[in-house]
Amino acid sequence: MTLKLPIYMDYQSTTPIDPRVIDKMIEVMKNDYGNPHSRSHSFGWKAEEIVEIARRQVAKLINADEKEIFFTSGATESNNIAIKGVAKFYENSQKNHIITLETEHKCVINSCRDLEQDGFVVSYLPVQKNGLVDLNLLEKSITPQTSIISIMSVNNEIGVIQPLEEIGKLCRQKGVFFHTDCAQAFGKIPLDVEKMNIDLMSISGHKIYGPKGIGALYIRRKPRVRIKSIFSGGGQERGIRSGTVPTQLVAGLGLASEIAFNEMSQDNIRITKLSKKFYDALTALTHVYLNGDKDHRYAGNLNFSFAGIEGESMIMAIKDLAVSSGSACTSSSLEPSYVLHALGVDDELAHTSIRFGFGRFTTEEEIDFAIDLIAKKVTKLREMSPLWDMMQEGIDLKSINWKSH
Amino acid sequence: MTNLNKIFLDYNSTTPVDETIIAKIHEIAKLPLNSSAIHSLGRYANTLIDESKLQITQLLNAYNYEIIFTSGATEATNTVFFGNNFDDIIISSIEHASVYNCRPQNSKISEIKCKQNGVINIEDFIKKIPQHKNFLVSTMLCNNETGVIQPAEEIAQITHQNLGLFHCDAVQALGKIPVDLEKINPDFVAISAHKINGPQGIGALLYRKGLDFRPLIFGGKQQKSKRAGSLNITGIVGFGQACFIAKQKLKDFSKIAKLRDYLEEQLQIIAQSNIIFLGNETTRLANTCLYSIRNLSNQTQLINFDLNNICVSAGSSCSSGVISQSRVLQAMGIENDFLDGAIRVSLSPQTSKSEIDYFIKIFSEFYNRAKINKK
Repeated sequence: MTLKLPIYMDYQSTTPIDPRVIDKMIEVMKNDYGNPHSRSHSFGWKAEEIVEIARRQVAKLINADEKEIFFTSGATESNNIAIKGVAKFYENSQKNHIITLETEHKCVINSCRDLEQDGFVVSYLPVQKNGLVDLNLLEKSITPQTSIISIMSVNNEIGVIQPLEEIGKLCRQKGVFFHTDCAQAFGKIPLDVEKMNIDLMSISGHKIYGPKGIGALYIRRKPRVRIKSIFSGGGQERGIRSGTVPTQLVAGLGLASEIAFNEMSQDNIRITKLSKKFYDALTALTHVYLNGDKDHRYAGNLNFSFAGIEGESMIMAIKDLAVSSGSACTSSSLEPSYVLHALGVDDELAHTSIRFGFGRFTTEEEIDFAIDLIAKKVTKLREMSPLWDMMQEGIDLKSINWKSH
Repeated sequence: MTNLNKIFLDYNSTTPVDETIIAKIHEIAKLPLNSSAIHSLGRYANTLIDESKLQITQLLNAYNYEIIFTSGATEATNTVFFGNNFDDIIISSIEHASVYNCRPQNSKISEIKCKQNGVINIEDFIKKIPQHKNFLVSTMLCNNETGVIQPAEEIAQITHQNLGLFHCDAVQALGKIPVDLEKINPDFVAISAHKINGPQGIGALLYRKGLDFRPLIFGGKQQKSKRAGSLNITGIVGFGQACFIAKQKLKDFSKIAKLRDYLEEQLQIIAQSNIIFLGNETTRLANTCLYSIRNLSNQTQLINFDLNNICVSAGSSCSSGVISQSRVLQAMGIENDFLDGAIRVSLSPQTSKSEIDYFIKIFSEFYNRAKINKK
C-alpha cells in the first residue's frame, strides 16, 4: 500500500470527521431537517429530540448532567462566554479579579484582555519550565476579589496536562469558580467534572473527529454558576446562547462524544505506542528536545525543538508531513510561540519547534515514514548548517556576538 | 416519530439542505481542513472560503462589503449591536427576536411603529431619530411572519442623512427576492444559510469596507480578528453553494405566489369574513401566507394540523418555546378577535398543488366543525 501524502500530523489544529459521524450528519440533513425550536410540528420535535440525545452523549463523557450542557459554535465561543459571562455576572459582588496562565489559548488570553479594558484585573501566571502550573503560586494569587480561575486541561501547543484535580480542590476551598478549556482534552483524556471540581468546561467538536462550527459549554448547576450571557435573541439554550441550534452539527458532536466514550482507552493505547516510538527515534538524533513535561502529557502531542538547524528550513524540508509550528491560530503569522517563551525556551530553539500530532487515524506505517524523513532531513540540514559545526566544536552559541552587515 | 409522509409548510423556519450541497459537504467533511494551518490543507481551506465569499457577494452584489462568517444571523446581529457603544439603537416593533431582544445595557432602545399593512412606519421612524450622531438603526428587509417587504432603502437613506449607521436583517429576504446591497446601501447585513437550503449553524455578517467594530468573540486572528474561532468549513462551503443555487433559481421563487394566492382565495371562500390575511395589501414574499381566524386559537389549529400530518407554525419558531400571541400582529394593530388565531403557511418552490389542496381540505373540515363565534 502506498502512503497518501502529505501525512496528516496536525491533529491539534483539527481532525478529520469520523466516517460514522459524517454518516450521522448526512442522515440528519436528509431526513430530519426541522428547526429544533419549532414547537408546532414533528420536524421540530424530531430535531429537538436529536439535540437532546446529543446533549446526553456530551454530558456522559464528563460525568455531568445533561442540563449542564449548552451548545455553542465552538470552544472559542465557549471560552468567551465562560470567562466574560462569569466575570460580568459577579462583578456586582465586588469580584473583579481573574486568574489564568501565560500559556493559555489565545481566545482565553484575549477574552481576559477584553475584560481588562472594562476595568477587570487579570493575573497571567507564569508556568514552570515543564509547562505545568505552579500550585503554590496559584494559591498565593487568589484574593477575595477573585471570581474565576481559567486553566486549560491539555495545552494545544505542547500537550501537557495540568493537575486538574488539585486545581479544582484549591478553587473549591477558596470559593473561586474553576473554568477549564478542554478543547484539546475532551474526548482524549478521562475528565470528570465531579472528581475534578470543574465548574465550567469548554468543549470543541472538530478536535474530536466531529464537525467544525459546534462546541459546548458545561456550566455547573450545584452549586450553581451564574453567567451573564454575551448573546441575546430568541433565548435558546435557556437564555445562555441565543440562535438556532444547528441540528446536524449537534448530532455530530454527540456521536463523536459517544464514540470517544467507547473507544478512548483503545485509541490511547495505540496512540501512546506510536508516540513512544516517535519520541525514541527523534531523541536518538541528539540535540532534539521535547517541549513540556515528559510524563504529564497527552501522548498524541509531541512538540520538539531541533538544535543546530535554522528557522523555517525544517518545515520546508518536511513538506510531506502536515505539521504545524505552534498553534494553528497563530502559526500563519510566524511569530515565535508565546507558549514556548513562557517555558523559558530560548529563541533559536523556539524557532525550530514543530508540533507532531497523532490521532485516531494515524498508522504505524505513517510514523515510520515520518521518522525516516525527519532523520534524513535533520542530518542533511545539520551538515549544511554552520550553527551545527560550531555546536560540534563546543562553541556556546549564546556567547557569539552576532554582527549585522 | 417519523417525518415520512408529512407535509412541510414551514419553510420560513428552516429548509431542507439541497441534495447537491449535502454531497459537497460529504466530500469535504472527510478532510481535516483548518484554514489557519500552514500546510497544503490549510491553503485548500482558504480557497474554499474565498469561493464561498464570492458566491455570497454575487448573490447580494456585495462587492463593497467585507464578509465574516458567524454561527448564524443571531450572532451577526449581536456583533453589530455590541460592537460599538451606540447611545441610541432604533429598531422596529416587528423585528425578529434576534434583533428585538438584543439590547445592550448602555444604549437607549426605541421602537418604530408599524402600519396596519405590515410596513414599518417611516413618519414614526423620522420622529425617533436622535439629535446626536452615534446611533444605529436596525430593521429587517422582509418580515419572517407576514413576509412583508420593508422600505429598507428609504430607511438607510434617512439614517445616513442623519449620520447614523444602518443594520439590515436580510435573513428572510436572502434568496427569495433580488437583494442589491449597492442599491439598499446598508452598513451591516445579517444573513443565514439554513433559510435557503444551506446547512444550519452558519451565517454571515457583511459590513461596508472601512467600517470598524469591536468583536463579540475574541481569540485567534481568524477573519481579520473580527471573529475568532476555527472556521466552519463545511458550513461555509454549504452556504456559498446555497447562495449560488439561490441566484440561479431566484426567478422560480417569485412563481410560488400563484400557489400561495390560490391557497388564500380558497381559504377566503371557506371562512369568508372570519379570516384575514396579514400583509396581503402590500408587497410580500411570494411564499408566505399569514392568516388569522376570528376567535379560533392557533393552538387548537396547530393540534389539528399536526394530527393530519401538516407542519405549519404560529408565526416565528424562535421564541423560547411557548406558542403565544404574535408580537407582529399586535404591532399591526389587528383587532382583538384575530390576535390568537394566526397561522403561518410558508411554501417552497417544491410545494405542489396537491399538498396545498390537502391543506385546504383539512382546513375546511376543521373550520366547519369548529364551534367558534363566527360572524
